[in-house]
Amino acid sequence: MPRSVARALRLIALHPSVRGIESHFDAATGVTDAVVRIDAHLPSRWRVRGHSDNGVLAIEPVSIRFTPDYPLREPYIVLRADFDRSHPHLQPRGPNFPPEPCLLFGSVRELLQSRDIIGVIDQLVEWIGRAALVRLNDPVGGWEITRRDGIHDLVILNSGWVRSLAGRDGGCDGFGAGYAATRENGAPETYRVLLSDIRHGLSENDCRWSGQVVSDSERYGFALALVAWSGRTPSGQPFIAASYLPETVVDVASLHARAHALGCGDQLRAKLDLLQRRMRGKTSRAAQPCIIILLARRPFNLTGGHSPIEICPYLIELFGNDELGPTSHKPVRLVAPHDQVSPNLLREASGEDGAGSMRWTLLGCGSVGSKIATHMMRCGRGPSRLVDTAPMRPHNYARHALFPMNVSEQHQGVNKASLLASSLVGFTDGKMALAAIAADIPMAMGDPAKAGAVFGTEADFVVNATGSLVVREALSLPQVTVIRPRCVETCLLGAGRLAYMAVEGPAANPSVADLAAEAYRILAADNVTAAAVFGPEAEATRISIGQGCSSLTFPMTDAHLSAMTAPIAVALGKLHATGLPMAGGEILIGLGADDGLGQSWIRQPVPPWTVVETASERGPGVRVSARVDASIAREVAARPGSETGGIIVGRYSDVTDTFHVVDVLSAPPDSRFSADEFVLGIDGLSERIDGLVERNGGALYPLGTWHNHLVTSGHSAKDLATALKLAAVQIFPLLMLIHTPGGYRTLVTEFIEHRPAGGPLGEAA
Amino acid sequence: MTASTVHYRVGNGDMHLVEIEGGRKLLIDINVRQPGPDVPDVITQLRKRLKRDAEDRLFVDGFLLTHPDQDHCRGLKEHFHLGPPETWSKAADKIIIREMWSSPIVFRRASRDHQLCDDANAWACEARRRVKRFRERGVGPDGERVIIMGEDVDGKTDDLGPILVKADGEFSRICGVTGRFTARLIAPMPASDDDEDEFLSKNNSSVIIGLALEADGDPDASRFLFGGDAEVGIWEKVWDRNKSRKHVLEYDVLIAPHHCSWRSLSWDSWSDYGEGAEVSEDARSALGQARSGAEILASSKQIKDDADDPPCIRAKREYKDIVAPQNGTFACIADRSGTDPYEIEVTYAGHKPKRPTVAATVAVATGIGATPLPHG
Repeated sequence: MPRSVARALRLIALHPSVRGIESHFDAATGVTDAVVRIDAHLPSRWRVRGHSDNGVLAIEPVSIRFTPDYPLREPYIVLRADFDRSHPHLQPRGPNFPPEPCLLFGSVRELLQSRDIIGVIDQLVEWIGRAALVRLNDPVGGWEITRRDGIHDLVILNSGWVRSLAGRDGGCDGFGAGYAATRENGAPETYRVLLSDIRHGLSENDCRWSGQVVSDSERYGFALALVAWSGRTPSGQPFIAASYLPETVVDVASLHARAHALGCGDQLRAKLDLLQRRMRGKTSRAAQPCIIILLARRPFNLTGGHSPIEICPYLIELFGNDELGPTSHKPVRLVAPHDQVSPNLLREASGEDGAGSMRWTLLGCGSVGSKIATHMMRCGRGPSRLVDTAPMRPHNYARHALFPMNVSEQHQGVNKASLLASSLVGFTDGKMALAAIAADIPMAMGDPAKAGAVFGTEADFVVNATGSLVVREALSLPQVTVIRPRCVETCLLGAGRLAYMAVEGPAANPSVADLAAEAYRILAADNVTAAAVFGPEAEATRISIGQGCSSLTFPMTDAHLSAMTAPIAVALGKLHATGLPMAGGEILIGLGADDGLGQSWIRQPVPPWTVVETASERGPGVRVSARVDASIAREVAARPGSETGGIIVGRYSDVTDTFHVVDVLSAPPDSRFSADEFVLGIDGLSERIDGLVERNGGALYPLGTWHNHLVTSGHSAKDLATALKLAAVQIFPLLMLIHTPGGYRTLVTEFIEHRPAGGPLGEAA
Repeated sequence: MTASTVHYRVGNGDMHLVEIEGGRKLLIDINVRQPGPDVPDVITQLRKRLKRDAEDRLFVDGFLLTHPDQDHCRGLKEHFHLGPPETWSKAADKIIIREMWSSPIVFRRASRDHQLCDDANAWACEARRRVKRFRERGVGPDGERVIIMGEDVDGKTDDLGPILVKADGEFSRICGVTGRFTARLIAPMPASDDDEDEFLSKNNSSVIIGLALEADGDPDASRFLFGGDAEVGIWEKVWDRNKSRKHVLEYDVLIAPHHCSWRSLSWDSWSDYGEGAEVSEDARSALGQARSGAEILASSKQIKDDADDPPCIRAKREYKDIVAPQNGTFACIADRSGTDPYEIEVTYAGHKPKRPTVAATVAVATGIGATPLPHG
């Protein structure tokens, strides 16, 4: 006997529930057969009697066979031949095989490796004890689906959709299906049926089928599928099929009986009667398959699933003049349901519930966008529209979610959105189209119709994964923010060292541009992130701040990019499940470790900003962060009866003609504060400004000044003079923000040079 | 949730948790000693099984103190909240007793023969507080409830109406709600004269209660008999009172009274008379109404073949004789290795001791449960 088997037998004997063990080693085959006597731990009354109501013995003999490849292969465990075969947790091997317990929802081979033979025996003891009490189905472990010992055919269906048919009232509906009937090597014909959601009315016309025979062993055609489900009991409660029954259906009579037991007998009967009438007078040489699907509502969810509805499919072969009544002995075949890929299935497999049905559009199908789209698709929360302008290039495959074709099939220059859509469409169930749009996003934003085509009319939100500053700006155009869905921006920063995600507030407040400015402030405030994004190493790529995923700018491995992008998809999935924030927006920033092993993330809520002015022909827009607003209010409150002020910091967008104010610098110590005027001093101010700009790489800069008026009033003559003076040296408009008891007032000045022939003078406007 | 019982390893003492089908939890006695090498941390084991209420307080629905001896109430003050429930504090995080089930001995004054330990005094004090509150304001909410198990002398309990259970009374309510059990109060029985009243104090005032537990729709799936520390005289009286209706004494599981003491079965001292000691036939009859497959469980130290009592080897032999014709079993909580309590599951086919876990027996040999299961 192999040492490993001898060791196993010794361990089995040590199990406290093992009452005896006999073994025989066959040297010729290398097989060891053991019979282990296991205490079933029957409850007292059965223990005295010696067996349970369903025949489990107080001491159960179990045969365990060790093959020579043990312990690489698990032992083969079977029960005595006369063990009650109606147990749900027996392997569906058929009557010619000894009853084999299905010990766990998983691999016995893996259990053997993780918990040794004693763990397997322990599971066996547990199984026998529960079998005696018929407690193999329990709410915690889940309802075990009906065990079937022989399967003839296969139906492929969208289980989520099929289950959704079972409403409050009982019913039975017909649906169209396609089938292929094949015969291999002289074996009986088997059907492979694909169920559709197209209604089949069972009209005379609908019931005229004609199949296409390809060869003796292959034919195709369309078929009818009847789906029946139970309704309510007389008390109004849903009908629950609460008793476990092994499969007993062999003919139409037993199918009727089964439908009756599952609470949908009458519903099925009505449709089969109609079908019988339709088949009257017809004859066919080749069998016409008809699928019957009974939906059983169980007391609790099925094992490993999120639904209590069990799908039980059968198949009847129609030849014309068929007898389909409750006494018919016409044979019925057992059909295995196979799920088709669908968002519901993917959600279930991802451990996600059904919450969240928002539709969304992905802008940018590059490396970051394609990864996010794939992650989201795989958990049943994928985009319904993909937008990109760029073609797929060979180097893109270094980090893109798509796989290259073989060399001869590689299509150079096909649009990224189209390629990604054709790859991801298999994740959908065909109910929701996956549109691919090749569009130059910034250019499309100028035309409401084109912009609408980019976002899609039904999109609840849009994810900008372009990593493009100009796309961000274009999305922030005032005329665009009013027509587009809410936006989520994602990108990598600092040569991929950081990941960034911004969730816009309702009505684009805070907008993606506001959030970007806020993010720059947050990044600059921390030495590590400031160095990564704005430091000397990033200096070479300074121009691409905020668009970190440009492949030419930031070489990095696919693994690194995936690691930084995956958390974005996690956060996006949660947003999809629970909805976007009701008030304000938020910023998420992830910092990767130096060695690439690990990340740390921060999550910062951003309250709505104060919109002082909206950009228009009359002048630029002015948007002030809630943080700055509070800071100014504090400073004003600290000097009652006096004017005060400071420097405002942020960004000015040329595209949207808008100031985004995200920070303030306090007035230098030599400033003068009085009821009449505030005079901004100079002591150390230049150094502070230089330091600020150096620290954030020029992402944020002084926009102008702020001060307050003690009464509600516009700018003074003094204010105008100062503004003009400053405007003369500033290359973009200068913002003077005035805090008054009646709200903010603004003064924007810009120095525009007119160069009439020979005219050297400038003019302030 | 199925019914089950948990019997803690508390040496010569008692501590049982009855989990009634539907989730109600009844604690019967406690003996919480300082954990050590041979003393399991039973309070932690208990707390893990309890639920928290809406205010995040651990609670038991009922707590039956069979009688106020230290080995039945040790640890009460330290681990259970006493006083109005609104004075409970998160910092102390003690267990709330929603409903006390108490013997009427709490109304007795301390005397030479009736000395109470601190924990017993605390129990009596809390029970009296709750009774007072009942007298003033009627039946209280959870945390203020009390049920008195048996009448006291001199009509002291006559005004307790809804919170009094008389001897031979049956009830199915816990915390004011019908639960899936039927309890029968077998003792204490009313004393017939002063001498007898004196005799009935302390051990002999023990509550004896039969609990029929429901399982899977069978209201009498398994019947448990808890006898506290009642001694032979009481069991003789129990037999005398119930011999014409002995079915009320039937059990599937008997907790051998007084930690498997000989004194519950005989007037003769085991250490003095040894094998010559005689069994009281009446007491044996009272304790002998075992059903088919019954189990007698000793809540005691391991039972050795020596002169000790309790637990007493002769008592064990007697109990084994009682269950033998019924194909029953005898077990001592201390017999199993490890620190886990002894658990019994109640099913529609009777009771079923939870099988010994592998971890407690051969874990060292196998390293069970140590390797995580990777998913690919």
